[in-house]
Amino acid sequence: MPSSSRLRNSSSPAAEPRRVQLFLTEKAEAVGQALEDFLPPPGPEDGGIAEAMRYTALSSGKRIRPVVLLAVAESYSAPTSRSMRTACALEMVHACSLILDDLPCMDDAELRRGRPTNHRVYGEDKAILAAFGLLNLAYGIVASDPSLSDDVRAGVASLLSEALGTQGLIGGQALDLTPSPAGRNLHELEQIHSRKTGSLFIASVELGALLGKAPETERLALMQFAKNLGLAYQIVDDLLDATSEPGATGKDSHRDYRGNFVALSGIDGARRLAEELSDCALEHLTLLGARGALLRGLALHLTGRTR
Amino acid sequence: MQPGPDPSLDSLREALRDRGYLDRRLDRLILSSAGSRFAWLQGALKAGLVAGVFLAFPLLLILIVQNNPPITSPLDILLLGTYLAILCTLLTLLVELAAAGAGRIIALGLGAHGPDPGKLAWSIGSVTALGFAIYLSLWWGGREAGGRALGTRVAVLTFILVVSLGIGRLTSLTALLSLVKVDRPLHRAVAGRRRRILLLGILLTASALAIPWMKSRIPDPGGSQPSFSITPRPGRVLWIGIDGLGANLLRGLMVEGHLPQLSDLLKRGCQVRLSLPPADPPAIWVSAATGFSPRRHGVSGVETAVLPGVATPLADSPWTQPLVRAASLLNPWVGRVGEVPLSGIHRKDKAIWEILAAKGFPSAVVNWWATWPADEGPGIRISERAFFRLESGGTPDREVFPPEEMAPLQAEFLRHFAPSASADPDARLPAEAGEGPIMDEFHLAQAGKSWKEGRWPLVAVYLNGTDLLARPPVSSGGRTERIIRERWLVDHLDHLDRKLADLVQSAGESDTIVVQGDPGRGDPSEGDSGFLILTGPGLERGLSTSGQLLDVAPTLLRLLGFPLSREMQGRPLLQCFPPDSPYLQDAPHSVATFGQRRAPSRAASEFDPEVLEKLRSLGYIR
Repeated sequence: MPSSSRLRNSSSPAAEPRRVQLFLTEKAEAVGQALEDFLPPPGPEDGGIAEAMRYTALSSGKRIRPVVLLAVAESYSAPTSRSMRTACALEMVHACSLILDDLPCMDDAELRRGRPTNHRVYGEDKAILAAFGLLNLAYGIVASDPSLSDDVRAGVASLLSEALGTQGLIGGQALDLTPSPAGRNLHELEQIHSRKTGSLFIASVELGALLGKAPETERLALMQFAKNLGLAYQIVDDLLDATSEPGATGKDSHRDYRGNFVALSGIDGARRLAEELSDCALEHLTLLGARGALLRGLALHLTGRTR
Repeated sequence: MQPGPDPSLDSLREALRDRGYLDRRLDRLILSSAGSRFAWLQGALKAGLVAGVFLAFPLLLILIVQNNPPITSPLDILLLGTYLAILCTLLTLLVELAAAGAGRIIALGLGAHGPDPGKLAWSIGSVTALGFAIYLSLWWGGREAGGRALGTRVAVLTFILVVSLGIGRLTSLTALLSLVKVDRPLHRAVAGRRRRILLLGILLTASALAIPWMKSRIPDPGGSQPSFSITPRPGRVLWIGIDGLGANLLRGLMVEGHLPQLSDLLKRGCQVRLSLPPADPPAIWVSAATGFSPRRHGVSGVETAVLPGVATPLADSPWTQPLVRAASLLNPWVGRVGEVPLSGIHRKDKAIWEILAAKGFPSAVVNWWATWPADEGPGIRISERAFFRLESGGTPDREVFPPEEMAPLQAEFLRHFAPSASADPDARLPAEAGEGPIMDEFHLAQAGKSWKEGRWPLVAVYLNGTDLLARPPVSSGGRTERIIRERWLVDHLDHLDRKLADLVQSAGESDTIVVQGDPGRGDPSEGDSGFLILTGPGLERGLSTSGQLLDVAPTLLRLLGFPLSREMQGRPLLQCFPPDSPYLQDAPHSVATFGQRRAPSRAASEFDPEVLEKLRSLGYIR
């Protein structure tokens, strides 16, 4: 795992690991609770779609994206209550992308977050409908958020749409589906990552900055932070895939090994890159001063994680 | 950006940078302005500041090493660094603002349909880098400090490339900010490997062409002194320089029957009309003694600027002029730019007596410009500050060599030349005539003493009394004053002529008398020129010819049996030597260089302000 001793010695202090862990746990639980409230309850006449939506959205994920969103917003003193609907919408979009990503016509995955994938439990038809149901609901809860002004609501919808669009998740998935018998080169890998994973990661930070009304220069610094951290997080994820035992990550182990950063640069090289990207991400937070302490701690946690 | 299947970590890193990851601090600093209303202006200001410091640092290093004497005081280095940073920042700010302005114009002109902003910004940065590479190469080529060593050239080329690329890089970032309306993270302007190599090649070629071109326009600096052989001559040389006596005045006075001794020398010798560059007396007379132009020898005037707080005097060169301007900008904070008299500290080339000293030949040198601090002979040196020191008293500070000569000089001064001394009825003009005649009297007496002792191969004396008499510091300009002053001037020159007769009589058969005149600080529009009269064995008699000021030193070296240096800018006046002259028949082989002059170990003097005031009271500084 990337060594973070140098980062801890950098000019702006990071939040204590215990405080970060507490924040992560509390906010993940709060997001989980809010999702419970926003998701439609299973009913006898809904054809099982609500259950399928809840199956993925409420599964025991780390809720990294909504928690990062809340952390950024809180760094600018925006209350969690004001940001929660947007955080849930982001998590719903993410859950939607997971369901679609695991489908047989795409990655054909069997395991997700340690459980059978959505289509394995509810069938492909329900899984597709559940994905669209989550996507639809995400925009719905943003549109009806009473705590946001019209401008901010429009901004949130626009950012979500951008992160999902052809230059985002959808475009990245399309690229990922393109066969590559000889393995991916860096250009292809980065294109896939930046759209499929990075765009939603950057969106989580940008949405937090929007809700917290961050100054323009700090918003741009935060986006660069997210861009570098997102890739570092992806490489760490690839390292976990390549080095851990089946079941340790909660998904099909070694599934992506042929076309990821570990295949490209080796395990040591991937570690070095992840470390350098983390350093670079943290340096962008210097502009925020003490305001960036929580994000700094989160970044250290994310890139130094064991699972 | 299409790395192969197994790229190295470095290439992966570089490829990621091209995709906007792992961006460098510098990029971040400039691009963090993105999104604000005047992002391009903010970016230009930041880039200008960074580039200024970036440029100033290596220039400071070069200045520290190349200055004569080298700069070693930490405070001096700090202050010089500050001045350089201000100067360079002003320059680079202009460049960055121009780049940003160009970007704004292009962005407004092309709108959304223009070429890729990243590529356009890269192009603007590349053009700037090229401009800087050429400018710095020309600038370096024009400096005398280039050296010939391969290592130096490689270091200079590397410096130019690094600085040019750095400034080009900053400019591309500024241009990028001005070309796009940004509300997203900016990707840096990307250049493919082939384009980068091409740019590097163009920069290298431009520098490689510019440096030799500029070097070819200036003489090469001297390196270390090689060994050389001489042709011993039986005779000695007496060289008298009379400032304020031009060729026209000489002829006019001779027609009226004045200056009989000079007339006689002229009839028995060779007269050369010397073309002169318009310059202050120190520049003219140091050029005569060194054979180099003022730009090369470094003594270009009477005084030079001193940067506030900087104790080490800076060599007077194009190097220091921009620095002085930068310091002047800081006037309210750091104080006024000061002045010190130009002296031997600033002189970079050897005078002929120093060339003679390399072979152990002693000389007596009296009152020549830029001979303070008096070098350690062999022989006698009475520097241009000796008279001022005798007048003012106080502890001597290298005004005379050997130092023990100061006491007898002082005694003689008090006896004959101080205001309280008894007047010499033959010599004295009224006190209103100023100090010029007394100074000449004193200096000629010292030279005469050395000449009559007969043990110095070269005796050189500079007499500036005529020039001082002709151009007093305060003058009514009225007709009466002009008539009286003209009479004093003629009387003084006649007096000098009589003293000269005395010296000529002391000359042996094989000795040579060289009298050089210069119109002094006269009106250049009068078109007067200098002259050189050479009288002695092996010289043409009654010949009148022409030459230039820089021919004087090579001619004197030939008379003294010393070789010529090929880097000298003048040539010996061979037309003054008849075909059978030993000076033509038996001359040593020329040498490439006599080497550069070593700077005195201690540069400043507490006497400087007083000397400056004295020069001002004499009218040298207005």
